[in-house]
Amino acid sequence: MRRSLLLMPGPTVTNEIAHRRAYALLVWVAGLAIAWTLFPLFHVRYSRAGNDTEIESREAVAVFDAQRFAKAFWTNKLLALSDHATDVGLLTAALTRDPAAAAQQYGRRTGLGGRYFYFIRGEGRVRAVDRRGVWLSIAGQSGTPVLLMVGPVFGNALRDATGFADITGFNSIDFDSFGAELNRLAENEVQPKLQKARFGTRVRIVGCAEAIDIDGGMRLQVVTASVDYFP
Amino acid sequence: MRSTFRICVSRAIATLAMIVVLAACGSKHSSDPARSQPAPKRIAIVISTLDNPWFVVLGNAAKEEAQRRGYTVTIFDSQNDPAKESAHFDNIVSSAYDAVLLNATDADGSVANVKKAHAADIPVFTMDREVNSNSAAVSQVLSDNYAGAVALGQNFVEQVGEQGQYVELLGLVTDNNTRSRSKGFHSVVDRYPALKMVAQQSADFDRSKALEVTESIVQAHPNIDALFCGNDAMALGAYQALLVSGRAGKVKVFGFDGSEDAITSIIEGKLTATAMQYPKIVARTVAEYADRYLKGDRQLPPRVPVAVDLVTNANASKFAAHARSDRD
Repeated sequence: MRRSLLLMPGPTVTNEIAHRRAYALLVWVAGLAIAWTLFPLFHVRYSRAGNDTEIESREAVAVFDAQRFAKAFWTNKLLALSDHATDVGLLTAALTRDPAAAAQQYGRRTGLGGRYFYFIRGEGRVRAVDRRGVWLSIAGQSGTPVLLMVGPVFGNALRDATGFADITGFNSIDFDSFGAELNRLAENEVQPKLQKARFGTRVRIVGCAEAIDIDGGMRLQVVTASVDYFP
Repeated sequence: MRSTFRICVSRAIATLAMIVVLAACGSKHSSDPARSQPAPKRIAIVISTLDNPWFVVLGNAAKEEAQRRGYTVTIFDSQNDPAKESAHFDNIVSSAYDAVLLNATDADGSVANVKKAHAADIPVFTMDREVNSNSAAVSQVLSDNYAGAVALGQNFVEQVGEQGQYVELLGLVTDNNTRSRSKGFHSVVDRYPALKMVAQQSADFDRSKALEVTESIVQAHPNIDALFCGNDAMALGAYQALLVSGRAGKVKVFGFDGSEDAITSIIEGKLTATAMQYPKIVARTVAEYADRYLKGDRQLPPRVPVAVDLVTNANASKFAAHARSDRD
């Protein structure tokens, strides 16, 4: 039966025209589809990071309490994680050898071109006390003097030396206020203890420091976060 | 016969269409070298005002760096007018720029413009002036104004002493830089109660306004010892007012920026100190970040402070306009 159908006379002329029209239409559609793909009349662009509502909710943060934030940072980061700090003897030796290499190895800084700060801990013996602060001698080190500063604390050593404070999420004014509050804590909570330092006393410290080049020699200036005296 | 003709015509047209399409495909890759390169992406640079030379340096440095990286660049001048800045952003969005490098007119007011671009999938990178949003801009590269002002404050106390009378000229009060500089300065000088601020007034970072403001302040307070100004343009305007009133040389003037005129004036002993910002570093970093972002980098830092340096008579010779010999 199938064979007989195949052997039947071909389609009528009308059917042949219809098929050829369908073929032509198919070719046109295919051509248009290719052309559309290659040369679209418009582009659909998707929003990058959600909508404004999402942005708004991320912006809706409480007023920043710098004092509270600084207190929490002081306790939970600066003091609690002081085992991450560099030994002061190790650092002074490195600074005496090569200040630039010491900065690369032990220093931290925020942003571009800023000062290097050092998160330090260790022991020393009081060798002098003057209006600038308490001068320490570190066992086995003599090249780089160590000064535990007293008086008004300025700058961002406490904020930036540890690497635990990230500027992400702050605006600059809040971040600066946070740094200023840390300085205030150092003045109010630590410096009264530093005033008790006497010549020859042994001390154990945690602090944040900056290496200052004075007439070609380095000095390590420390904002002290913790000081303990022991025999 | 007629049907056969129509069939032939249909086939011919279809074949021709295919040839045209294939020819178009082929030409895209081979026959026309000029069309083989995609059109360069476009970056809009929106500057708060081109009246201030510091911002001209900032804008031009950003433009040069973006062009060096293959972008087509247009600079828009907001003329310190948030409404003009908003109109620029409307233009930028409707023209579908690929990125915006923004030096904002207003820390809060400019946020809406940044969000407008964000919603249109146009990334915004701020230069020098912060916008108060943690998410609208991709990255904000800002001079560390607070630290610079702390250094200036310490120098101020050294130069003026721990007692005396001084005046503060503020910049635009809606700008975070104004607040950061003032806060940094006061974080130091307020520790010395005998240093009395007898007047504090805004001169909008403008030299002419600073001249006018200082003239009237000096009449009311003829015995001031120092002026702390939120930028160099105001410091130079204030110095002119002191010159007119015969007080030049008796009043110490402090600026902020590191402009060419200010550096020269420090060397000549007219100004006492300034804080050197680095507009070229800020601009190049922002242009680099925009380039990296457009090439797919999504790990850019949201905020990057750029250190500033204290410039006094002792070290001014190491500095050129907006730069230092070892740090451009």
